[in-house]
Amino acid sequence: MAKFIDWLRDIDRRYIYGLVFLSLLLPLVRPFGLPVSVSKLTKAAYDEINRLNQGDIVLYAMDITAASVADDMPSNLAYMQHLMDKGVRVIIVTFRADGMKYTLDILAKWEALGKKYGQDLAHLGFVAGAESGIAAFFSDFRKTAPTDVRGKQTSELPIMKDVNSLKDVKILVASTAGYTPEYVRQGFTAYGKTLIVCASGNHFGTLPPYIQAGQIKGAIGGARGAAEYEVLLKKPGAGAKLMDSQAIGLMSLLLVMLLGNVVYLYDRRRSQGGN
Amino acid sequence: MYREVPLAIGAICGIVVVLQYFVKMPALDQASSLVQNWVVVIAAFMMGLGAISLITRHVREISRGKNVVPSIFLVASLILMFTTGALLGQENVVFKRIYQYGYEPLITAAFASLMFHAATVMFRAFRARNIDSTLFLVSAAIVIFGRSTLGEAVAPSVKVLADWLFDVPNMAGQRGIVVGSAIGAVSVGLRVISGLERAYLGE
Repeated sequence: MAKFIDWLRDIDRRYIYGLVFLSLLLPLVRPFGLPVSVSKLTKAAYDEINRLNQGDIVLYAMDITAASVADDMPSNLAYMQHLMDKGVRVIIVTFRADGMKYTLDILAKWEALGKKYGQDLAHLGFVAGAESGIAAFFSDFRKTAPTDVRGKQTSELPIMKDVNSLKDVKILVASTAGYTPEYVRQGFTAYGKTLIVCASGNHFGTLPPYIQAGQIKGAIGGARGAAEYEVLLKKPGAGAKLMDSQAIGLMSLLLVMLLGNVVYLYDRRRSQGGN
Repeated sequence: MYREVPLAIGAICGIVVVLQYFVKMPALDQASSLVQNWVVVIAAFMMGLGAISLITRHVREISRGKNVVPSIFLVASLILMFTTGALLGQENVVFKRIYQYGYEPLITAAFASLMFHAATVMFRAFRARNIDSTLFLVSAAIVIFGRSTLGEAVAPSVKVLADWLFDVPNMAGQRGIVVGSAIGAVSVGLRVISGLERAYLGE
């Protein structure tokens, strides 16, 4: 035991890296299909979108960052899948410059599946200015984004007929990438608009105050939330693929934490004169 | 004049935007919308200014012979991304490929490596040294285990406890942070409007 503890105390960190790497990789290579339960927040987000009718218009603030794209992309794809399946029309905008490429990829995916640009969905591009940019855009789409991502006049897009501010859309969907309070303040508080969000897993823990206050009606967090949403859609996708890997990866972290404490408690006991 | 004019602009813009939330008046709505659109233009302008400032600084570094390789790489990357994006458009395949195979692997690798750093930190620093750290440790373990798909499958009752930790103590802590930062933001806003806060003037 003492030898093992001595070895563990001075363990080369590359062993820890190796353990984490394998625990993430092996379930991706050979998944074992752990069941995914659906949380009430995911169900609430699903219900909000499910209540929309064909032809309703939704504003989708799609802030995806390159750093967290692996976590953010599945949840955005899940929301878009549901919206497109329902025949809801979507106006996309982004307030993050570095995530523009992903929003264009999502747009291209549904265009390739037959959705008509300008009619079923449109992309009004990147709006700078963080919260001030969000506030300006919500108050006047056309003035803040006079041209869309393809250089067309925003006012000439068929989807923009009778739509010029957040008041004119049915609900606000926001992929927040850290901007959640901004959307609560500028979307829910200023316009009383129903807000559903998807947030990166590491950011999801900051949402409960807004959810409990009823300012966010539904939310999905990272790949886990996406997997739950895919269960509701009955269409396993990018989120479900990551679940086994994430579960075993988290277990490896717990194991590492446990071993660290075994070493610590053993050393403390020994320093106090125990055996 | 040099100081009073910017202070007056800041105060007027602040008052217009704040009043618009409380007073329903079309003229005020328009004025607020105008001010907010100025911010968008200024923010976009600042990005260009930032890029110029970055290039100037690194060109100076190159001419002095300091950090030559990283500076050349940074300036070349910036110019390459800007010119391809501006000339070919953001949906152009060349621009997308540079982003996809250049920027994206670098930034995602940096983010993914956090998992490995977290593992070593958990091994060396997550120790049950006293009651506070033990509570933190146990809570973290319950949330990690209970909210993972494996934890749910093996011990569903842990999920109930994990959800309670997430929804009650976590929310209470988060709410304190949110309310505290909101009060701070309001006080900074009032200081700007009243002219007491002058840090944005470079003072």
